[in-house]
Amino acid sequence: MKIIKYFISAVTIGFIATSCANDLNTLPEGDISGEQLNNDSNSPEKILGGVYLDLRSNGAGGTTVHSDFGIMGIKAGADLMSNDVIQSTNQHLGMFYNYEATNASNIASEIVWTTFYARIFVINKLLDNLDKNANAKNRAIAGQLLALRAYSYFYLVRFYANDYNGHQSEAGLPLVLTANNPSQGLPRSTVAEVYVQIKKDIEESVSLLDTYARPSRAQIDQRAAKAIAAEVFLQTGDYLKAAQYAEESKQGVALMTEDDYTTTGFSNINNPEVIWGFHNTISTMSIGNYYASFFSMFDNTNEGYAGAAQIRKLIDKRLYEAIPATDYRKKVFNGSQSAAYTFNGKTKNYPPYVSWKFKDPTLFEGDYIYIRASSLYYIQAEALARQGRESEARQVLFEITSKRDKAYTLSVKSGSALINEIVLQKRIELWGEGYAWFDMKRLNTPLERVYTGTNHTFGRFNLTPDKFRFQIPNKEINNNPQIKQNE
Amino acid sequence: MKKKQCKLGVLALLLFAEYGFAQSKDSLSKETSIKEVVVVAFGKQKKEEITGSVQSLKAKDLSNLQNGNILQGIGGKVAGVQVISSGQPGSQPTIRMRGIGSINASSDPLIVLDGIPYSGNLNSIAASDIESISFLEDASSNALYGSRGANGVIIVNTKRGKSKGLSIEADVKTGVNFRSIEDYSVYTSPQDYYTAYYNRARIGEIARLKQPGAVPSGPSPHDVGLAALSKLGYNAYSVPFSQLISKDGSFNPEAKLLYQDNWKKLLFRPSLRREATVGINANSDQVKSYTSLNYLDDKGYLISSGFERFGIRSNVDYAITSKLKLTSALSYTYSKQDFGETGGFSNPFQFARNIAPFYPVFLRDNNYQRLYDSYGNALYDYGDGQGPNGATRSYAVFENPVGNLQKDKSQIVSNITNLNLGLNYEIIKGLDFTYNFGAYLENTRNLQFGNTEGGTSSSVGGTISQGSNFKYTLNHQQLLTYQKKLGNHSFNLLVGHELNKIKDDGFSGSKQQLLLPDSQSFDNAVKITDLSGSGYEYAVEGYFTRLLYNYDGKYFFNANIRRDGSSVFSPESRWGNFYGLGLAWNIAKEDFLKDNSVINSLKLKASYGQQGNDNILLSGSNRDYYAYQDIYGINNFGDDKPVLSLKKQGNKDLKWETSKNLNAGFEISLLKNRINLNADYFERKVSDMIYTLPLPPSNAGSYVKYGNIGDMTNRGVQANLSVDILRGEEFQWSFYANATHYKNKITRLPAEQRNTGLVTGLFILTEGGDRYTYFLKEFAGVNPENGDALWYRTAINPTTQKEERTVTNNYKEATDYNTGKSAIPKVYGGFGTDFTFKRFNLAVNFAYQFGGYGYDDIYRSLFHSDSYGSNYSTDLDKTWTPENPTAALPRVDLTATNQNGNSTLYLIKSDYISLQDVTFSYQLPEDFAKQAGLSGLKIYLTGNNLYLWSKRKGYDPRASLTGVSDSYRYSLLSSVSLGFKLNF
Repeated sequence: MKIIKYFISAVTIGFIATSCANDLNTLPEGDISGEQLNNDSNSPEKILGGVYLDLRSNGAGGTTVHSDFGIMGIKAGADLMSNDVIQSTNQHLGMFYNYEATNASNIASEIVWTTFYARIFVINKLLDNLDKNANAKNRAIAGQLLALRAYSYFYLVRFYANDYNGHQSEAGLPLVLTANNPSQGLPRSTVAEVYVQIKKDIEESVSLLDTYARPSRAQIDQRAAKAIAAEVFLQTGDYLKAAQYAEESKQGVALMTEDDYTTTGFSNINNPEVIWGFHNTISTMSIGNYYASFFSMFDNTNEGYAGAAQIRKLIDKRLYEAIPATDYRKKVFNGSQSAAYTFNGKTKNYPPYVSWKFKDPTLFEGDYIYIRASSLYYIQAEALARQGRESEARQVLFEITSKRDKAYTLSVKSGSALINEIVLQKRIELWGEGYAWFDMKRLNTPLERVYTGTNHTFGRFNLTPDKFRFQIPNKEINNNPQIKQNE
Repeated sequence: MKKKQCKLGVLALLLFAEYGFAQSKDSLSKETSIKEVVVVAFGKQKKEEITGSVQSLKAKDLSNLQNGNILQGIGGKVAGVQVISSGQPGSQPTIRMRGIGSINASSDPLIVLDGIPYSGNLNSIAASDIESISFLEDASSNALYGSRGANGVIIVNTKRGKSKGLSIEADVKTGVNFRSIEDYSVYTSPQDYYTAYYNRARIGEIARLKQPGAVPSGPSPHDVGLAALSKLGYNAYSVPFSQLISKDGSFNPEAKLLYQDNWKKLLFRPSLRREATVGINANSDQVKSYTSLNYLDDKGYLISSGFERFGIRSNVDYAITSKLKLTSALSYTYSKQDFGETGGFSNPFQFARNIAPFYPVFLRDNNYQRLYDSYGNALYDYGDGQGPNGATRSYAVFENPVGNLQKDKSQIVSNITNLNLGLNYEIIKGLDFTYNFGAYLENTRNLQFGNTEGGTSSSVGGTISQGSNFKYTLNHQQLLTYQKKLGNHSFNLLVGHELNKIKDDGFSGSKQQLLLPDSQSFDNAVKITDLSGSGYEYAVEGYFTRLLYNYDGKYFFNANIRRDGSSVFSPESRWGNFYGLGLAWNIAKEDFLKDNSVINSLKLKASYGQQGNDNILLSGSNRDYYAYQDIYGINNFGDDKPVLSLKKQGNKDLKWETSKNLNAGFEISLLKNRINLNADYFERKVSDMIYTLPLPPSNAGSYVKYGNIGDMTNRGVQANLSVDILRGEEFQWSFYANATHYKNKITRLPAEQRNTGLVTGLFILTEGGDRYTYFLKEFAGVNPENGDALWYRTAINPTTQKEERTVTNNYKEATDYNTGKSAIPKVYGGFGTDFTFKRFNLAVNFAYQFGGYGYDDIYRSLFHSDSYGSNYSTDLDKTWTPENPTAALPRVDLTATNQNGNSTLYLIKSDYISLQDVTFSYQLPEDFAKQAGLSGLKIYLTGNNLYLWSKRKGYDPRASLTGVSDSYRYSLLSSVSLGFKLNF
């Protein structure tokens, strides 16, 4: 009898115990794990798409602050460090304007560093596992990845190291080229070594992208890669290549019209001269906080920080006065008196020298423009002038300036005066687009905000170009025993 | 692989059933004396048999607690347990038992409800339903919970039917909730603020002029001060800004105050608290049942915040036959929680503290008359230019918490059903089989509503976000117990298997552009901005066995082993073995002490064991269930095509964090059990601590990766003393106190960080140092010439080539030092007293902490250099001005941003004594009660969180484990209620 009892109990236990069809292998839902992706042959392309997306998202630099929104924020920050762009009160992005951002402990230093190095990490991860020459698709992906890596290092080296000219043997950046690095971090390669890598990457990219037909202007195609290359070679003094790449890149691209320029051309990716940008929609603006975006910061007419919160972006008084009255680019800036301005059906009063260049008719869904053809005219012109081909340089300068200013006549300047004219026109054209500060650093132009009648605000001081350098952020210094801080 | 292990488990069970101690027919002799019984892992044990550290709170200790979440009220009552809570009604507090268990894995203890591990929020359980809460603090008690027991286990048991017949107890309380402690002292009058702001600009200019090479820019410091004032936009006085303050710094007596709104009064006000519970005990020989209903409406003192709960419970013990018993615990709870704490500038606590007193709450016209909408409702001023004369507010523009909280909602509604079923079958005498099944089903709906009238949500026409989440936890336990007594030897053997599975699944959506300003339905909005879903799965499986042995009730031994596998780790690293051993000697039962009149009981005990922790946290205290996998997020590229963004790196080699725990102590009762002392020495060694690998951004971007990087030890003592001072017929008076002291030491760090240490936030981790040692610049004083803040700098002197310590006013150059000061207190605990005279009773409880340091970041932020009309500490009068050059605190102006940089200046002792609760009650005479048809009636007045003594007004060390003040925290809430307890 007892044995039967034991038997019954054993079977019951056995039955219940084996109903543990348990699986301790779980998979995330909502997010995707690397294991699930191993089966997807299209994953490199999708991860590359993620890199483009992250480059314009709030949180690209690993923080949640509203100044952290990818390349547009960093370009805006760079321009705020130049002679040309002024912010009225010290809030978001203000740390760039008053150079607090250069401190190792400042969040902006961390944002710039991390925005690019995080992308470099993912790029390297993809490149480590990609066979570049397997097929056309892989060539295109590899080409874009290399262009992005070159672009990232190009920005990093211009923030964290001294200018290429005269400082080539100085400390540059940790040159991370694979995702399998030892966890301690790499020491800094020299500035020269960094540029060698940048040039190598961008030229390889140009060659890999030769047959790539991109689905939209958000991807880097050969034209965009050449535009990046033009800027890189201008920086390193390879003027022949700079002029050549600039010419090839802008070939066949129409310039925008006065209507584009004075209305919504700067928030529309279909602007004819856009070479690389990003089309924003409600879903992309929902990543992170939508106030952390370019038009919130730079559109003085919008309901964002520049508009409703009145953290205004202004043009430097002397630059404004240097724009001829016949030049339609002057129309997007306010003069010395407060004035009314109408956009999107709303008329408001604006303070002196305010900018109306960037206007977004939607609530922060305006498109981003990273590179447009106009920039290439100035790169080409300067590169030609530096080679002594001054008449060609004057012609290129005329081609664009005459479109913006009907009264412009072919320049008669030469030597450094011609260069100065090219640079001045460049500053007028590309105000707020992230070129001015890098040119100042390259041309050894000091920061001069103290002058009679200056309209500079809380960053009213002068600096010599040796101060145009960020300290490496504390997070890197504390976790990378091999890295040395800038003095 | 899994099936094989299952089958092996079955085989083990079969073996024991067949060949175990199944032969003997001897039965256990019954214990007739009433000995205190304590709930432990998988059952109960007599208190005298416990070899580890177990402490309990019984129903009577808990019945007066007024917190929506019962754990909030236990601070100071249990030795070794620290409670950190917020004032948000219903919020789950953070519990730490015996120090810090880990750096990056959770230090939360495991909660077990009615025998089943509980993954929900304890705010769904009413205090009146709880029979006991046991705190299992050492390895011999915890090892049976294996992977989740490393940080201690809290066992909560709900009431079950007792004795015989029918009895009913009802409790009704009504009370008031209010803010427990006052906030930091800031300026409350516009005049004082304008004067302070004017002075900031004025002395900033004076200091600037003192700099070498400074160029006088024209206006005098006085004019600079007035110019700064005029940028503030809103002028609350009848004279223009330029005439508000005269050259000697005095305020214009002709200026008339035109308006003033009190933000604090409009945001924080006393609110109502109501609670009612009914518990019905109905018992017969075969069926014992406890049924209850409870209702709580706990409104927070912050407007639009609160917690409402309604619950039903039915616990039944049914003896089907003499051998077969069924136990069930079934409960349903509905709760609604409204939140006041949000992040960012809209957080009401930070806002109310920082907003300058001249900024208006309400919208006014150019004549400063209040404006109303067409329904007569007040309109609010969001500082965006619609106010008097188009002024804008620089501080937190677009935000107005008073306006927003009228309509905005942040709410979670939960429906929780908890079902536990247990079947116990006595196979033969002494051999029991139990099958426990627990199902926890939770459905929560989340609603976020942003109004259409003001604030950031109004710029998009209002926002509605709704989400729905379903989570279920299933737990299966199969337990086989055998009890046998052979002469003086008693054995109790338990063999078991447990499977715990959690699955969570939810989605949420957001829309903008509302039609009707008041409707919260999704249909009311037209523009879809986001639709997303997420979920996770977690499973843990374990096999365990425990042996309890005692000889003659004098010598006790127990051993337990558990083997666990967790889904968090990769299959190669998934399984771990955990064990515990304990010994106890009941000395008082020995012949030489048996009849001792002074010592009633004396027990020595020791235990040792090893446990694991798999509760890894992502940043933001969310749990990481997939630590070994790379994780990507899926996003819309904007053209409706999916792209992948890396979020986190996985680590295949990640394994269990293990902790080895040693506990040794004694328990003694003297003088007829009037004096009871319980003291333990404990040691917790945590190894292979899981932490984010210290990867530099150049190597890993912002992508976190976890690794097992170091070891840590907690070593300490805790003691619990209770004394019955008086035990008369009419007069009883007892007193208790507990104290815990521990030292935390990091014993191993990765080789790369060994010399430099690992800096995390304000702390540095070094080998030989503790987890929370402050790493800060050292404040060196104030330069009396210009008020510059000074710090120390240690650097190599370029001339002498020797390291020297100098003083600098350059914040960037100042050195960060390991201050040697720690946030870990030297001692913490509680004490209290209970006093009964005839039918009156008074119980008072305190909690305390001494010897640690906190960092008062809120106080620091009140010495800012912002120019946007943000309030200051009234201690501004202790800062440098040209008129007060010997002041102790540095100059505060509108431009020098580093004057209040992080430094040792803001370290503050985190000592405190808190009056946790006071209850005064009166039990009405029986005849009086009988007249009302009751068997007992008690009336009482109870209050909690009544007072705090801390080192600075407004600084609350109880709000954070590290003592770093958090400006967003919902400050603790006090409740005072009047209640009636009726027995039928």
